[in-house]
Amino acid sequence: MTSADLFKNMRRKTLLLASFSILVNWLSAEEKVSPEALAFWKEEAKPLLEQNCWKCHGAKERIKGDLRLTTREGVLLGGEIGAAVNLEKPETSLLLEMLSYKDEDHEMPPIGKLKDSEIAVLEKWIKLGLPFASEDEILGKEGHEVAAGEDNTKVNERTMSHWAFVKPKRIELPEVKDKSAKHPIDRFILAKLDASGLKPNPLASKEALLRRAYFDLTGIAPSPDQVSDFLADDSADAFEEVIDGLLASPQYGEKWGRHWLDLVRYAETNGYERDSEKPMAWRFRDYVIKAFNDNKPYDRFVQEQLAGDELPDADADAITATGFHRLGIWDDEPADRKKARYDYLDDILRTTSDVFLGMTIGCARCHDHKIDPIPTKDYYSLLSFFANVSNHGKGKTNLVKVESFSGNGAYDKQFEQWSKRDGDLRRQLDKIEKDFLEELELRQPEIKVNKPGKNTKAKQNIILHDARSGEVAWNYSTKKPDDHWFEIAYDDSKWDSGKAGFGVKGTPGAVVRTEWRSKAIWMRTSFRLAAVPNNLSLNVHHDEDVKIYLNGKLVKELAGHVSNYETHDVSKVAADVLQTGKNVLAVHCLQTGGGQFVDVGVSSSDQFADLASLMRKFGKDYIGDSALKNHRRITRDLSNHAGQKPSASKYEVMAVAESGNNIIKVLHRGNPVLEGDVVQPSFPSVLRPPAAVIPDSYKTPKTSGRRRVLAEWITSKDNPISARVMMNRVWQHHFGRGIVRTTSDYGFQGLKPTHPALLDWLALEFMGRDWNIKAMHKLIMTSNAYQRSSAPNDLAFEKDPVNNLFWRFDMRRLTAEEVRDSILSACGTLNLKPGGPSITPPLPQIVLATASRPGAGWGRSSPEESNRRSVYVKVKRSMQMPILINHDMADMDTSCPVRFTTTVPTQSLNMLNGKFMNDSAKVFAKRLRDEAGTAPADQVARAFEIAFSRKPSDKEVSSGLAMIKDMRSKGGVSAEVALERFALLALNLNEFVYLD
Amino acid sequence: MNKPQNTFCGQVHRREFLKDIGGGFASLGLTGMLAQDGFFQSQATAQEMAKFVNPLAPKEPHYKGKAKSVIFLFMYGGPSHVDTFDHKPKLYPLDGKTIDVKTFGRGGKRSKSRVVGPKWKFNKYGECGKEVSDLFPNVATCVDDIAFVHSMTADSPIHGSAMLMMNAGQVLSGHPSIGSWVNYGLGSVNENLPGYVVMLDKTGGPISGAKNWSSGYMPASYQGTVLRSQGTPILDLENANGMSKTEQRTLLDHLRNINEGHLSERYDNTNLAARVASYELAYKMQASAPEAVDLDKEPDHIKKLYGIDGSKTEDFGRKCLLARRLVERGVRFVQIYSGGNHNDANWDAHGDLVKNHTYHAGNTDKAIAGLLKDLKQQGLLDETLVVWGGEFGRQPTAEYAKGTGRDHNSYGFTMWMAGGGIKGGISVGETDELGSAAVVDRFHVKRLHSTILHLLGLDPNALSYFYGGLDRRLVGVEGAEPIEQLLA
Repeated sequence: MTSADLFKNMRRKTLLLASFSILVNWLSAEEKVSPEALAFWKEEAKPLLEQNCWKCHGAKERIKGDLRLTTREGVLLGGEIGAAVNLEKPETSLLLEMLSYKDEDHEMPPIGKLKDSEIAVLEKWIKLGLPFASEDEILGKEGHEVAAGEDNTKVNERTMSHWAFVKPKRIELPEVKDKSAKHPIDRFILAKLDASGLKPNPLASKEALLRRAYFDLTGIAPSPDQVSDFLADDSADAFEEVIDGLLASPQYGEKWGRHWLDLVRYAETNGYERDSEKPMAWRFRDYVIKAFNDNKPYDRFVQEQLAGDELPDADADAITATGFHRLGIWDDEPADRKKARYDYLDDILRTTSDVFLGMTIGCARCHDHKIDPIPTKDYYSLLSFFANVSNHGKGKTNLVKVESFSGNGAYDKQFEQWSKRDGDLRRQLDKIEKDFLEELELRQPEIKVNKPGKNTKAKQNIILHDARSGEVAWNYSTKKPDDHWFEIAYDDSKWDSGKAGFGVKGTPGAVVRTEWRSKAIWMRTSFRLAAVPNNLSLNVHHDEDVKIYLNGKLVKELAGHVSNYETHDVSKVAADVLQTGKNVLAVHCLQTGGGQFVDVGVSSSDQFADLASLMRKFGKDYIGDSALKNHRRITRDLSNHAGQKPSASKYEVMAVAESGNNIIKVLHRGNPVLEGDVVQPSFPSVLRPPAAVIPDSYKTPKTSGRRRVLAEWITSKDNPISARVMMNRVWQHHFGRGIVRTTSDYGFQGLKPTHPALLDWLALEFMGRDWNIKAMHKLIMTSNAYQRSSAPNDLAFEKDPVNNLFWRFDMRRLTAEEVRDSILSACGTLNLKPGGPSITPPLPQIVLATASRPGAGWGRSSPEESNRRSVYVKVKRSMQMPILINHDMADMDTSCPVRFTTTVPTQSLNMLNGKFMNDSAKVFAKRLRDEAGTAPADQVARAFEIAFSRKPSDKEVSSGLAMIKDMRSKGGVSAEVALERFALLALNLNEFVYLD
Repeated sequence: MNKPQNTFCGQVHRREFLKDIGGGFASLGLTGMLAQDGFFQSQATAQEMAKFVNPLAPKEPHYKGKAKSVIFLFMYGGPSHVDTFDHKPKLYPLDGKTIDVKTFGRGGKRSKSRVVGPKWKFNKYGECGKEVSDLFPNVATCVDDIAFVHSMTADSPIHGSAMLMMNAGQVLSGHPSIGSWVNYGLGSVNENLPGYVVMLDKTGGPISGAKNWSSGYMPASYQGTVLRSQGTPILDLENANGMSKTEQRTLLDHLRNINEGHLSERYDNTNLAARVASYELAYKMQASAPEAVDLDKEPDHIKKLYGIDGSKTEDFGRKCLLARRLVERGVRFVQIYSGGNHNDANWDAHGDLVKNHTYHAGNTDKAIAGLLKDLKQQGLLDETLVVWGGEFGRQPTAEYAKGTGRDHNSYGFTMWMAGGGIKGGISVGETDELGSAAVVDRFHVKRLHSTILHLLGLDPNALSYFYGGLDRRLVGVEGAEPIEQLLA
């Protein structure tokens, strides 16, 4: 019997049981039981049950499987998978099934199978009609272990009116004592302060405010110039201008995108044994950053992540956003595939309900929620929206090809503009060359006649540079193009452009200007000939197999790899295809393992074949100096322009896909073999939702339309909770804590909002402004509440030490990313290059050695790349940079709504002794010398300006100088080293990592 | 630390609270109590706020435990129980015969396979007469101090998930490892050393790397610290650019001085004070850690006891001796990996069983016995719980058509424990006569975890951490009891 059958049977038994209730009552009356049966109970059955079953099923407070075997009624009632016995057909009793160990998912007792003789005793017990002495019964307090107080686990009028589950209400702004308080946020905050008799702190200094705003919006400190500009600006809207500027800067999306990535458990590997890559996961990160920078309305942002592929106007971004479903942990080799499938969906459901709804619906997977009014049925109904999400897979399984900008035509427009300029430049070039060639023909007709070269061993003249001597632009594709890709007339204009050579850095003898990491590459370029040369050589570096076509003809094929350029004479084979004017070189390279590289140049010993060399020699005479200079300029412009070509219109992203039309059933105890009733998609009942109807028009050729229905309900303005949850998160990252401190739990175990009216007001305002996040930042930051000083106030502290009332602005430590970025920023080496594949800055050997293949999966970024912002550091589940982990970056196996702030000695060890810190101190010291000169006092002052965004007091300069002096006298080091030590000290100070 | 009164009352320490107040402010225990008392509903006093306790400061156990520390000898890859400690006389004559037996391993589920007879002889040892194979002649001399559990079961016969289960109790990634739980529950009595130390094999970490000693949803302060037996023991213990001691002291003095100036205007922020203190702790750690790992202090006969004089046994011996020195100094949880990387670099003997197990047992046997004997003679064994085992055992049958390799087996396998409140000289549980599955007194990994926590004085069913809407426990929401038979 399969498990599913077993369960079906049990359900039948349960139904049967109802009709036996009279019988049950009759039997339970002890006097009806024979003395023999009772003796059998006392002497044989009871000891067995007591020894093997009761511990988990009734004798202790905690009862497993909802099954109580310590009362007769309990045995008959059964547990969560049905009645334990069948008195009509004792041999089919579930209890005996379990004891028989026939089904490996249902083996009792778990500690080991009973002896056959013992099982026979229990079978007899059932056949005897379950004699059970009433004095042996152990009755429990049935019901859950809910604390004294009200049971909130049922969906009823009372639980449905829990504050978070009802729609926010618009209320009048409260009146406050301070009549000058106009800002709505201040009215709410002051009203509560008034009520408790507390006075708020005064506003923070301009320096502190500016630093606060910069970190909050961009994660980077203001530069000394930005500080002095702001200090000099006395205008009333100076701070507003700063806010506007920061919200418009690309760094804003990098900072706030990171908050979002924490929530959606963003990582670029799957975890587990191989912790293998999630290809293209970084595109999701770039999508999030761009969404914040573009101020994508929050409702659209949510819809794209849940159901971007099902939206009627799905564009490349919307598809990329559905990578949301693919970010979680995934075991590629699970012991139990069926359970793993539900684990995968569970991860999506939990993330969805925690992040968008602030409800811990995931807790209802195995049983009704123990605290909140969320029945298990609601869990599986919600799961139904994701039922068709296809299985996760290795490698490229989860990739979907998208066409960028499709839908709004921006790409086509950009490309059109680019092509036009490209054509203009080429026409200008052609004209000059035409003039030159005409003149050349007139003056030196013999060149066109192409006299044979006298000496083939003569000096080679370059016709097309290879990477060693020039920067030649090629068009290339890493996707297999059409079959005729090597023909002259093939249109490669939509391929990517890059400068030779192509490959990975570190290949021996190679000069890499364009990174190529895939298996294969196809590339094309052209060169111009004034005359058909008598001989022709190719200068080729390849790793590995390469095919070279000239004007559509295969002229060379080379296998394997070489470690330097080699020259190949192709004079004979190329003779019949060479032509004056444009010649097209097409190259295909394939690599099977290890590094890769390819580059091809063309040369000839014929002196005058190459137009460029002829121009150099005769140009000035034939067409004049200015035309020649123009020619050079246009050639250079053309090369630069090639680099600005809009990126390829098609690329792959990690995205959701659906397959099948799957039915979801309630699973008892979350166990996939204990299937219950079929459920349909529906929303959590406690929120009084509308029925979840999936319109036919929502179905797409590939998907069911279910996720779109869910997304639209979540982002409906009638949804009571969504806007509150997001506004609370925005508040959290400005003030260091949410108005509801438990930012992903609004249920009965979550904390109540400290300012419920304010939260409602913000939620309504947010929806009223069409989910405009940037507008809400500005609204919050222009309040006095945001701008207050963080200074102590003994009186207020005495009454409200945890600042529930927002009487001050709470200090906060910088986040892990901010700490690292600030250090790079202080050094002046922070590389603000946005987007693209993740970086892997150097890791200490001791960290690399923790992997089962030491160092695998963590590349080596160049120093310049390593200095990019931390949001671009690869998020590998099993390995991370110590400086980020030490400062509590989020563990991304699950959604992280609030980060820790821990302080432990290993953090200090890293900050004091780590290589990154000490190398950075050197660079920072050099910057101080460069910018402040050699006087130590100036250097110290400059350090303060850079590291703390303020000028130091005289006393502070003196203490810095004292340190340098001591370092020199006690440590015996040079002035240069002493400054480096001071730089290290500055980066370690509390003021560097704590924000006022 | 108070025992949670009520499993789902909600007002227990939780992730969000910690962030709000900063990890440096209070020990988790304190946070928990304050939360229970409704502290965060604005009833706290200023005095309470001003307290600073290192998150790793020692905490009261739930009750007095017999063990103070744990040394977990992790035989990564899965040692074969029928070739080491679980004697199956009836298996020998079946060698080469194909029989009906249900197995589930890397190669999937099978019902018929070719038996590989055990490759080593077993002899009786000690007063208890325990049978041990020739792979562990030295450990065999310690059997009177050891309790063997022959009936272990786990949820997965696949390395990735099985490793996570043995270390963190769940096949899913993201949960705190047992060492993190111990540090969370008890703290560390020596603030100059990490409370949870992991020593890896020289061939590399186990699969999933740092996830095996991760603190999961708990703060990173509870994660394991990787310690090397040679070279700089802990990351960043020495200055990268060679700063001298005097320079460093000078730097630290000025750092404190300037920080105190900053603090004077923010005197009510205990996080700042905590950070100042953490630099002094780091400084002390720099002095203590090298001393703790300096094996030159040990006499030759002790080094010899651990096999540090032999080329094969030197590496693991060194780590075992280090482990003793660490627990002596108050480190709570030490985990040593035998085997790393993939394939035969660990106990995962799919191909040539004899070669694989001879190598790994040969590297570890003497060191492990040395550790047990040394702990005993130093009077440390009573308070140090030693745990031996892998993430699962191996099948009695072959995986491939040829060869002696055995596939993974999570239906039944052996682990053993010694010291720290364990009854010596006993064996509990049994596998069937082939060793293919546990049949008598089956014990799930959770029971092992429960036993370890219990011996340390932590109630396994009460030690919880609130995360994601649930009171999480190492032993799972359903709980698990310690294995009573093992308790002295």
